[in-house]
Amino acid sequence: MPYRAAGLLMALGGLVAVVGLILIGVDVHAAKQRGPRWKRRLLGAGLAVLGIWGAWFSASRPGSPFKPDVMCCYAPIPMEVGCAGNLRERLPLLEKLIAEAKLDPGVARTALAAAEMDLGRISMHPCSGPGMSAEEMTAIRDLARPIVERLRARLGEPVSLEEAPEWKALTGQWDDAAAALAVEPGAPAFDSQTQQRLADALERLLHADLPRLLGAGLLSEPEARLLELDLVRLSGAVRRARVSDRETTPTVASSGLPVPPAGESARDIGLRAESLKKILASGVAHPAALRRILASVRKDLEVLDRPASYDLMGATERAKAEQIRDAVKAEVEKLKNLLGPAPEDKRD
Amino acid sequence: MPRQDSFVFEVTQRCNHDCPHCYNAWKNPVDYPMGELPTGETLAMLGELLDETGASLVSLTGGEPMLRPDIYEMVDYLNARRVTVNLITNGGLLDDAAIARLSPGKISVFELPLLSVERSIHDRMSGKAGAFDRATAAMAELKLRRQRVVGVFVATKLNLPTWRETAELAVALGLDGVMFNRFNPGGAGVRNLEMLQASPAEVQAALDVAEEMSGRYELPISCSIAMPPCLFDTKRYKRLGFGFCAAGTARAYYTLDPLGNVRPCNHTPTILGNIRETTFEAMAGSPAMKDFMAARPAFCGGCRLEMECLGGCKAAAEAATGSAWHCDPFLTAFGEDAVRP
Ligand code: SF4
Ligand code: SF4
Repeated sequence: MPYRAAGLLMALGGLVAVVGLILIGVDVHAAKQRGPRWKRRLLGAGLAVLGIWGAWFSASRPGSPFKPDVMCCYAPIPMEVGCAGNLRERLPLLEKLIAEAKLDPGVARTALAAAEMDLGRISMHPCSGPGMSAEEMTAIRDLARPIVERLRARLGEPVSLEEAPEWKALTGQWDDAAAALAVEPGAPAFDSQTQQRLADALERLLHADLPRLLGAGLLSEPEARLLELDLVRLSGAVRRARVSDRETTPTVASSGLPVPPAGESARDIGLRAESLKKILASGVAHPAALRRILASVRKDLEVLDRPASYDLMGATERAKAEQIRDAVKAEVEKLKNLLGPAPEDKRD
Repeated sequence: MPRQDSFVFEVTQRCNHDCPHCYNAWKNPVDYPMGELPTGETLAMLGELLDETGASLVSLTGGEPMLRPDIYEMVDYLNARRVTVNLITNGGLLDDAAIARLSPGKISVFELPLLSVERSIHDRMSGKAGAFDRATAAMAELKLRRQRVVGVFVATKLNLPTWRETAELAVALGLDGVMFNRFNPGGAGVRNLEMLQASPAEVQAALDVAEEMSGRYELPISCSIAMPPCLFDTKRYKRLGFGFCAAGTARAYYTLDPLGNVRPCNHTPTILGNIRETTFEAMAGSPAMKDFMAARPAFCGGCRLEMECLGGCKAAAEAATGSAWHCDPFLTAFGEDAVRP
């Protein structure tokens, strides 16, 4: 029986039932007492038709080959994207295929990069859903780490942060954007094409290069989170900046990283405090990353050191901001020990 | 005015590969009109079909769509019309520069062949040395750029023995899904039936593997080519998606060729008319379309699924025998084993 015909019959049955209900009212007890018997029989028959056809319809489909929401011939398949739920299996399989020389070495490198990126992304922004609890995430990371290390060694990928092309891209584009924003307050920073280019580059850093560095084990999770905060702030400044070829309403001064008032600096520093603490607790850091992180933190601390920054703040709010500032200052002092000698000292 | 969710646009009939299973209608031994229109006229005819159908999804295919240098203009045009674009390509020309031009966000899904984990088999089934390395390179790069990528496995005698490892390769590359399509003879495929067509038992065994792989690796797998339930037990699969012929429905894949000819789907050589001369409404309601929709083989008479299954793929029947009313070649070959559902 074609489904369309079955559906039609069900609808007809339903219609009879509904008309029956309207005729005798929905109160079943009252219905027993009211109206001629044929109406009640008709209602019963209508419901029976519905029931029988409903049961047949659901039971008789051949393995439900036609899943209405799935597809018809040649329709693309529906997919959930972004959770990277099979990473646990993906890396061992990739390692196996690379060991068997099934993939061209260049393809193997790109495939590893993509897996590292996904690993980093789910570490920074765990997705919800089955199999993605904190424990599960830790399990995936524990399983992935040695495989990533082995594959990087096998494929000759850089093993230090400074050598990694993604880090070079990250620092280079970060510096480019910051330099482009360093104009007189109120002056246009660039034209709209440059703005788009910078914004796209920062997007890529945020969503691809930074997660990849984390997934590759070249950055720690708190370092990646701290760098992400800076890049998000920088990206916002680029998007809000005044451009030379379009009328825009400037919202913030376009001078280097935007200098926020005390409230914003206190908030941003507050967001960093926990990650800074984690780095301190671990006792390890990647100096190149930490140096960059601390440079941004120091800018906010400078704002919080200026009494004028608190002008528009209430007493309680100010006390809270100063408390955060002092706590972070103390952390920064201790973190300096993890920096090792500055690059200039190394050259000496 | 007929509303159509989507259509296929065959950007070009040229191709840089020579797949023995290729179903392109112009590779049939028929007098199919060949050629392309200049960019402006191409965009105009795309616009006409969009205006008339209200379609929100267009799948760009070929031939090899990347062979046309104006492919980017087509994509930009469709994006500007807020139409979702899928790109079906063999990946051979999808180098880093091309990928950069098409991402981010311009293409909803990239569909590339993943014919075997074995380089030699993939290359043989593509009729092109180096095809495997280029396709896998494109897939890996697309994934690194966070694009949605589906691998297409065309199940034939040649590659079925490697299906399990090929599905694993899809997982290793981070693909978002796999289309497991039984070989559906059309175009060049009709001439290579002997070499390619696997038996229902072989395909069924591969479906068992697909179900297992899909569960183990959370890998979406769909079987996009109609699978006649009398030859395949589809009841046993909980995870795999199956489709029936959609020709003539709102979800049909009406196909526009590079000259503006419209067909009921991308497999059939039947031309309903040309969008530059006839309205889509007239073509969709034409006697040729009505006949295509009504077509089903005598073999299926009395089967309770006759009106849904329609006998598998009528375009394949048409390509192999000249009539959509004849049997899908798969039914012709294995009809004796059929068990009516
Ligand atoms: S309609 Fe034909 S092809 Fe489909 S299941 Fe029935 S007999 Fe088989
Ligand atoms: S004729 Fe074949 S290819 Fe065309 S829509 Fe029907 S099943 Fe799909």
